[in-house]
Amino acid sequence: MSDGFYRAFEGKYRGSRELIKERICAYLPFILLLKEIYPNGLVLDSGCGRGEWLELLKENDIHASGVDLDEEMLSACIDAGFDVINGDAIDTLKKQADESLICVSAFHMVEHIPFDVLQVFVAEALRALKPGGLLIMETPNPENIKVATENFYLDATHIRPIPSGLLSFLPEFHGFERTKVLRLQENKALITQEKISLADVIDGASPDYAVIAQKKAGVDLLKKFDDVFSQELGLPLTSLVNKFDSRLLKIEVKAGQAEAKAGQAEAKAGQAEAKAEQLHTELQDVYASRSWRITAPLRWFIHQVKLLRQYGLFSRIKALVKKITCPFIRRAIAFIASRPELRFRLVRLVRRLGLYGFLKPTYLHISRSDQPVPPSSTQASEAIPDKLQSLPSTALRIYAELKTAVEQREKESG
Amino acid sequence: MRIVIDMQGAQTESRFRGIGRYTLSLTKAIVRNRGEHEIILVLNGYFPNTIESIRCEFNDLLPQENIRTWYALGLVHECGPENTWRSEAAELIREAFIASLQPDVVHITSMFEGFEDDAVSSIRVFDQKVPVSVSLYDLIPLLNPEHYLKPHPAFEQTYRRKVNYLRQSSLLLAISGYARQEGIDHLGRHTASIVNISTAVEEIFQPLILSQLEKQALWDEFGLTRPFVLYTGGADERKNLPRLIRAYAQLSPELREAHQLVFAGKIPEYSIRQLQQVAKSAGLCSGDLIFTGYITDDKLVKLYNLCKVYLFPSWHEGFGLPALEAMSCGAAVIGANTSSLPEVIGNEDALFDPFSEEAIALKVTKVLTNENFRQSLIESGFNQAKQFSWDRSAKIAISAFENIINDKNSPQDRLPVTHTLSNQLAKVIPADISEQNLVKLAFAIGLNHPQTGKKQLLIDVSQLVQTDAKTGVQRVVRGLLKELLACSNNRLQVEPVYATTDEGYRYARHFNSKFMDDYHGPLTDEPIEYQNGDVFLGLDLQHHVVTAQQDFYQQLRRDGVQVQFVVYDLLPILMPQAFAGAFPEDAAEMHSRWLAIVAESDGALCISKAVADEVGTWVNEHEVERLRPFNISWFHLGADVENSGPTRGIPDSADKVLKTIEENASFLMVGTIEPRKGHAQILLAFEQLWSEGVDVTLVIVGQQGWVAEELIDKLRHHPVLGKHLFWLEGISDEYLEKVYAASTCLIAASEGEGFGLPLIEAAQHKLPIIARDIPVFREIAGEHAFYFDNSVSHIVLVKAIKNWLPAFQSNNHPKPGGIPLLTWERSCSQLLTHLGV
Repeated sequence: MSDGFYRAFEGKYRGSRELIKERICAYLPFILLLKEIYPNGLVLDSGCGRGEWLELLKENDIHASGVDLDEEMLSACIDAGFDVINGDAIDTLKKQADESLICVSAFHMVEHIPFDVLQVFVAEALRALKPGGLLIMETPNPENIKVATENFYLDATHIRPIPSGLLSFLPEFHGFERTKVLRLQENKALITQEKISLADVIDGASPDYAVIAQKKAGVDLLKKFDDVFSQELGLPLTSLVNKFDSRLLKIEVKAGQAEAKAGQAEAKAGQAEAKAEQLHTELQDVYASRSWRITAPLRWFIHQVKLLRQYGLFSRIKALVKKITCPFIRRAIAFIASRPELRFRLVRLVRRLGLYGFLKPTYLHISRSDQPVPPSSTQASEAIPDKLQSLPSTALRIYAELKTAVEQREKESG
Repeated sequence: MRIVIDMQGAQTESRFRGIGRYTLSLTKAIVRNRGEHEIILVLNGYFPNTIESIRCEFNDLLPQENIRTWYALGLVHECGPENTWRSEAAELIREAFIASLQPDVVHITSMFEGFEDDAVSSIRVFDQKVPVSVSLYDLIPLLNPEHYLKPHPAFEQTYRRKVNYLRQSSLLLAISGYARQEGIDHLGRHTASIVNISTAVEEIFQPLILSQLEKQALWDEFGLTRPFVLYTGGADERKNLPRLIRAYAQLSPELREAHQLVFAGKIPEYSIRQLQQVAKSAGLCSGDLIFTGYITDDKLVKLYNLCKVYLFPSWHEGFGLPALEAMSCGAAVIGANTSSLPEVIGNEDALFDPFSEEAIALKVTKVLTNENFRQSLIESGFNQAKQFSWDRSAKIAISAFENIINDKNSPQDRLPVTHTLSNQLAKVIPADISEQNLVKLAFAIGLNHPQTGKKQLLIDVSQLVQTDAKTGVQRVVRGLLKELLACSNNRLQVEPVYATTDEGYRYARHFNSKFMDDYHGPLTDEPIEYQNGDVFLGLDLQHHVVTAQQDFYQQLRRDGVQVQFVVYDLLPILMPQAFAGAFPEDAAEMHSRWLAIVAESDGALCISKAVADEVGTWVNEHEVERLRPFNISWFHLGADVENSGPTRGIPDSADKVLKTIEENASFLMVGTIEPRKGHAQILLAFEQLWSEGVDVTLVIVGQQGWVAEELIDKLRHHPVLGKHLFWLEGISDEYLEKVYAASTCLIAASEGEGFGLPLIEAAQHKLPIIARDIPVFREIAGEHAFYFDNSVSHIVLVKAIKNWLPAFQSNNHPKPGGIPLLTWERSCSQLLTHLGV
């Protein structure tokens, strides 16, 4: 492919210099240990690119050389004063003497070369490393679903994703003493987060990983590296999946509990209803019982005393007066209402006397009932009006008749 | 003889069961066979949903005046103790209402209602003279008190009270000989006072020939796989279903494998489970029993037709209708030999002892294995079924009625029923009755006993009462109202009424006193009173009031008042673009809603045949809930201006204008300036004519309408305004008369009209007409006008005028003399004919 294309691609997708430098700090612990053992040791960086790793090593006083095929990338390194060669990484490694290097690094290099070439690379690395030296290979992590399905292939020069199981087996097979897989570049917050979503499952696992392989050496030397080799870093996919699953489970359990609670509530309501029914029946029996009826006058008396105490003598007398006079006033109003001519004349008279404004509200107040209306159960009873002024003349007359008859009977019985 | 039938049996929940169907079928048969007698049906107004359907059922059999509704108070259902005074009052009110009809006989279709609903029935609570007859279905609760009465003391009290009423009746019509015997034995009655009128089945129960497809569909629907034994009915204990199942289990294994036992009809879940339990214990498999659940009548008929045998093991029935239904369908029927079944089935060989499983099993085996026996059952059953018919039952009932009437019941002087009623009511109403309840009582009684005497024609003039907007509609309303008011005589009282969106209808007496010169009636606008047989005419066009009073119109119809509306046009619906932006609300929607309410009433009186056709189309396209037929009729409007209360007043400038009009060939357009009247098109045409130098004058008479700002502007600023173009805005009718007289020709350019009064007015003034070719103009003017094509182009009109002018000069133009002119009087009498007044 044309350089122009690749350059443009890198320009768009490669991370910034600062970002990359931050990432590769993860390897410092390993390198610094090596420096302790071999103070003047040399590191060979295969595919050094813009030289971020070389810069980091220089900052830490470690000798390093780099090799890359891309001239333009290398020009940046040369300008920075790094020791770099323009050439093929494998050939350069083959030219190194046995046991001459403390570390061979390949960051995002191995996914660009065919598998058999990779095998050669690993074998040559083993030859060229001093005892206890490290081979570091970082590559995209296909465990991350998004990487494996999409992101890996953004770079058209990548060949195929390499699972960590395969890449870590290679050095073992070729004779390295031990290997370690480090997962890198994940969103650190996700590691401790409990509420994992489906999106997290798909692209939350560490997007890169590195295989660090160590050449055989003396027990004491190797022991120095035990700590760094035992640390667990990164975010594997399984942990995300597990968290997601357990979250679903919890939701199911909660729903089940809510259902059970609702069922209980229903049962309780049913019981309460039954109880209410029972009490209602019992109460009806009490009301219907003879002893209740016999004590009615007594209760009425007690009630009157209570009212008297509550409202005072004056308002009780007022209530009594109202009770006696209101029927008469109502009857008078009904009498007048059913005789339009009389009413007309009366209203005219009252107007002339100037009492209209005063009497009208009183009239309205008396003719309005302040008892609550029982809710009707049928449409038809809603259509039947309950206000005096809505009554046509025949009904008005009947109203007057009924009123008279009821009061007559009361008078006779009372 | 006047027979009054209380139809509550077809109004309560019973209307879904046997009693309801019995009531309807028997009453219809009585009405069909009434001969010289008069029948009145009375309906309880508290079941409004049932009234319309009953009125519809009897629409072809009885005049609507013979169906009356009555009202008491609501909430009378017996099962609440606080309702006692209400139900006592309701009983009095009902009997008083029936007494006011002056019947010779009263028949109660179902006495045992009103426990959970608002039905009311009683005997001899108010009226002591008129003989009362009651349908007797059965006395099952009375004869099984442990099961039906003791567990429900409130129900027992009411039931026993109703039984006492039965004892007071003069006649009982039993549904079977067995029911009659029960009545004799347990009600202590004289044998002559209980008559067996029997029962019948509806016509739908007949033998059918089913296609293979139908059979398969039925089998699939209910899971039938083998020939089946059928039962249908309830699951009460007396229906004896557990024993039936155990008996079935006793059949031979071969028979059981070859058949299924099917229970058709709705059975409560609980009972189904019980029966399945019984089946399991008896050793039957799950596939042997089928429960169909609720089943429609037509499927039931098919099941009767397809079953191998129908089984009815109930040990106590009043009649046992399913057995008769099955026999009518040609099924082989076997049943219990107790209660009424023997008389229904009519074949000893078909009976078995319902208390013996062996007997049942034996009979079933015989029918399933012996094909000859089975055929003989079918034949005897089918012949037996022919003995039962509703007409036969009705005739027996009617002659029973004839036997109990007494001559003492001739009309005599009596106190007004309401007075006696008030006194009686006073004894049961509590002293502390609330004002509202008293008013409601009075209103209900007022409804039952209207005192208006004459039949009323109530005319809704709600809009005219508020304002006279001088629109075309208002002129029609004024014209018709004047004539209608003159129609009052000693049999008919014509009353204008009005309502608002908040309040109900009142007599428009105040308005009437101003409208009519010689008004002598009362002056207060009281609420209206109506009675059965009155007519309500929606004359005015007031969308909001009609929408607000929608329920009231249905109330009127339920109570036997005919409701019709005058429909002027459907223009907002058919030409919505002409009304867009004219009103704050969507005119098309408003008018549609109004029209839907009209379509729910009894009829639409359209002002032209064209509008009547449009209404017919609209009604077909829109689903309106209605049962009784909807009558669309049309009539034509009157044209005599002097009789429609015209306006007067002529301004000073009039003389000059009139002179100019008379001197030239003046073409007149009359009407509010709205888009659909075509003014814009005409103006364009005339502008073309003027530009070609044709000497014509255009006179536009009309108020500014809506959506016409552009045109108005153009008119106001027109260069030839005052010379060849005149716009006379808001002139009086008197002035308009003169303009007509001075003009040469009338142009009727409306794209849509309900009637087109200007055509008639032009004809009156002998003015020739050039009209757009639309159906309504053709209807009014026929061949006596010159037509131009209904197109939006003004060229068409230019051509028309150019063609007309020479014809006019040579007197060959269509003359308007032949157009039939109606006076408002004639128009009014057309209207009254359609109303049936």
